[in-house]
Amino acid sequence: MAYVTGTANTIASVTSAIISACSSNGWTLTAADVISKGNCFIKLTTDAANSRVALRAGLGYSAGALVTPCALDCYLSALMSAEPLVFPITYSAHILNNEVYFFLNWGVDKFANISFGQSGLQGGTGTGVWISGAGFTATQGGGGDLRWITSGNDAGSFTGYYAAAENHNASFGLFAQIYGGSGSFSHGTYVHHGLPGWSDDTLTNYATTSGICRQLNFLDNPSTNPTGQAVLVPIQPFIDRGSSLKSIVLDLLNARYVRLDTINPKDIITIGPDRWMAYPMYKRDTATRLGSIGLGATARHSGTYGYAIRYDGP
Amino acid sequence: MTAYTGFVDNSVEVYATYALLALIKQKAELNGWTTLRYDVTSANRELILKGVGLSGTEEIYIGFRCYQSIGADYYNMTAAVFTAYIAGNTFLTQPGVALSAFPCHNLRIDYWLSVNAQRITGGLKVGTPIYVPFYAGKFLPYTLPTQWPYPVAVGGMFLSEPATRYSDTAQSIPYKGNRSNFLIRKIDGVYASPYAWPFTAQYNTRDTGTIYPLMPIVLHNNSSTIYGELDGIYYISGFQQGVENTLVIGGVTYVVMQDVYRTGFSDYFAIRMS
Repeated sequence: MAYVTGTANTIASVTSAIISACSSNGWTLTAADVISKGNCFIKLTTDAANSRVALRAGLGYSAGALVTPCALDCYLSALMSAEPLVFPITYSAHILNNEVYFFLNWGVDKFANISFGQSGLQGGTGTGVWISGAGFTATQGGGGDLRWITSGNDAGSFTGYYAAAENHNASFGLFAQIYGGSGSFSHGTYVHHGLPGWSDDTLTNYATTSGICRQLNFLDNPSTNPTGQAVLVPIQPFIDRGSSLKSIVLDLLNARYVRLDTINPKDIITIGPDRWMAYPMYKRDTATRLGSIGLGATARHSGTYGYAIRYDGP
Repeated sequence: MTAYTGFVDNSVEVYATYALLALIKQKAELNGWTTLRYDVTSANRELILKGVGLSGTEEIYIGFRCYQSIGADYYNMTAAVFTAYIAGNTFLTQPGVALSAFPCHNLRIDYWLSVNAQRITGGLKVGTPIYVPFYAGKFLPYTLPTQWPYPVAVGGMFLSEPATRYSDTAQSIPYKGNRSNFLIRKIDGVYASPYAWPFTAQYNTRDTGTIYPLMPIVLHNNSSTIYGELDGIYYISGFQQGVENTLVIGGVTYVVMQDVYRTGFSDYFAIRMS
């Protein structure tokens, strides 16, 4: 259990920071660009041209390649080209046994995240290895712009929508669904659940058998306890199983959803013996706490939707 | 917490409801409750209990009573919560009373009773059969005890004590939320009917590789507040489900109940039985 923070001057330094933070805190440096713990193997690649880090999960590493990898990379990058990463950039890593949560913070109030690990499975024959990223899958610089987010659809999921003409895709990480307005859906999350194999959040799979979604639609409005304190909501990703039925596939031990109406980014939330650090999904905005649901306009923020990550720092 | 399974009938008492009331009294007293009133002389027999809660230092007031009509052919019971006890007051005029009745039977009632020192809950199989639950006592608030000292809930099948028999087809379990037969005492002391997730979710769940995850029933107001969750009652998928199924998770046994006669995907819940 560790909390590591620092500053990176380049995107390559961000890659190094992830590897260093993990390998110094219980993860194995399997290769120069691969870290592992348990069944979870993560290969990291710096994509300097697009100012992003590509991460792919697998269940092993052999002969220079991941064994049973997920289909595509997940990315740590800016969420929209209009607000790119700015270096030097601050990072913070929560290395929590088998789960890793890594955040970038730039321009004072903007955040991006990548998370991975191996968590408790609710069933199935998979390993519980997962990865969830927030960044672009298209190349950065094409003009993608966040239009609105919503957790109010029937999946109860967070979705980043983009203008129809802009074929760029980003999510808010941690099992957020990704939607590109032109119909292009990207791959931000994979879970090895064994029902069967990996699933991602592409449109095709989402609508049929294997999209990732969350149990969040009750968090749209209710968000505090009767005394006004924010409630931490467990993250239990679902997958679609067809016929409009869903299965819970995972229990994250060290992350929760939380509304940040009265909590500032990076505030410490103390509940009994547990401490949690708050992060916005992208950029906190209390004036429009639901993001820009229904406004149909550009909203370069994520309302008060956020995460609470278990904190083991000073 | 202790759980009890079995049946009561009219072999000892004239009505099975009288026997169930006696059983609740007996099991409550074994689990941290003190009997303040046990009236077996009135036709509407009644029981009022005081519990010490999970801390062992609390004062939680709940009650049960029978009401029936031979002519209308109903034999029902009522669950209630109070905020105090006054010996000279009737059942319905106890301080802070909130109640909900549930239909039973005069001949035989199969029961799954779950008792701890802060609440008594259970499921009953009645008549043809149908399944009905009840809940009286504290739930688990998302606050500190000092912030919300008396978060109690009462749930049955009817608002108040109507002359309705078990064969009524409109009745539905309280745990689906947003209904008059389910009340919680809010932090301001006012009773309200909460919404209940995941019954309020817009989707249905199924098993995960033959495993049926239990999901806590989270009470909220569908506007701004999450109150907490029920103690020992869980949502479970109705996919290929059967009432009276049992499952064991972490050494704890749960029994599956259904919403009266309904067998849809979101018509089931589980009671912690150990």
